[in-house]
Amino acid sequence: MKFLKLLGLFFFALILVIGEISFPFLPEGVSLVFIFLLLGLIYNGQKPYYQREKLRFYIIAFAFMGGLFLDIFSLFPPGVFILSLLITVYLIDKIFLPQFNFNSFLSIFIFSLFFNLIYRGLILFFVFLTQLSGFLDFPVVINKFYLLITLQAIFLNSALVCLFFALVFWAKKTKKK
Amino acid sequence: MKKSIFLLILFCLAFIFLFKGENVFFISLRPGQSWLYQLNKSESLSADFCRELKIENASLKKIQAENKILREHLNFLEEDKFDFVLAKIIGQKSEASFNWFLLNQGKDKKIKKGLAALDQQGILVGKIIKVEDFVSYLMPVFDPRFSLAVDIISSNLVKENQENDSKIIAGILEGEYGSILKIKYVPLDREIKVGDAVITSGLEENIKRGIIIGQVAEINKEPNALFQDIVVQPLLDPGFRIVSVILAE
Repeated sequence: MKFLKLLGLFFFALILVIGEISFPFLPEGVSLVFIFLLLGLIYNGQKPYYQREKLRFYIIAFAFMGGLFLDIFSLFPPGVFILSLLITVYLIDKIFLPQFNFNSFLSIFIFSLFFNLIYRGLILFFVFLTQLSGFLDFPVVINKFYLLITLQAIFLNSALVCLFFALVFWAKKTKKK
Repeated sequence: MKKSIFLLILFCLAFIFLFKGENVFFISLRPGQSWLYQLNKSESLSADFCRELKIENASLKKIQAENKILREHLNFLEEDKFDFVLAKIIGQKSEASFNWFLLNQGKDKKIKKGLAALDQQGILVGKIIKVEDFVSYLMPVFDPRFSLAVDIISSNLVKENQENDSKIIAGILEGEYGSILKIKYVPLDREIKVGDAVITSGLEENIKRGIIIGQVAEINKEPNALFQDIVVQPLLDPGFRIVSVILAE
């Protein structure tokens, strides 16, 4: 059963990455893998502490698979996306989740905003590191336009996390009735 | 248990990134990615009253448009005697200030790093920056890291139909802010007019001379500067989906 679930996650991560790269109507900067990762973490964070262990394994596996596929289709040397996703998941799970309650949409939005920023910062850091170590031939260029696009992407991703969360919340509520 | 999982992960990573296991994904996903990326808005909106007819019509139009693009590609490529490979764009992404397009041809079609890619009118759209066995990565001209040796051809020369190399002005073309093109390192005393043509100079190892890039749109001269800044209006089709990669001799 565990294997089947992992296989399902494998294909889900693959579909999300293909959608992210090849779907022409997706706005620039939307990261589907990271959005679904945040949703999983928020869902896990709403459970009591002792019940989180089981889903945690699948979240880490999903982060690894998503990172792997993003790395395969990316320009950067392998490892940039895997490490950025895994470190973000670790930070959220070990440091943030034990001290935070998701009791409003605003808290979810701020949570998404903050960790989107961390995720993008980590990608930039690892790309910079690969450039310094000679694995990447091109320099990282940070200018006001890049910052503007990144900011826009962070807000868009956070809004999408809230939207998906609202949809799940609404579906659950309708089901109960 | 943990040790075996760790070893399994290490084995998977080594297989994918060191022993070219990633080719499995490239080969199996290329057709799907190509289909997804080539979707256009008119198709997605064509679902109402006579749905089937409209879909058929849209698909015929799509084939016609693709056919036209391919014919145009062939026209200029045969005229200029370029050795080329046609490649479809199957994806694009921008991350950490990098922009790239994923093409469905790679080392198997003799594509290598540094080659130029042109649209259906023969206008430069970017250059290849990374090549895998079955896919390659294209950096568009607008990327801030893009730089290329170019020549500006004076409009007077074109009118009089004269060939005079001394009046051709050389410079370095760079993408700026991900949206405009600028030519740098052109001395202040050189006379350039708005509308002058910009072409590749052929100084780069794998890019031939004479590929059209755009026209001069703006000239910025500052009295104390050593060089003038020239803004270029690119002539490329912004919605390019198929490119010709010009192979080196």
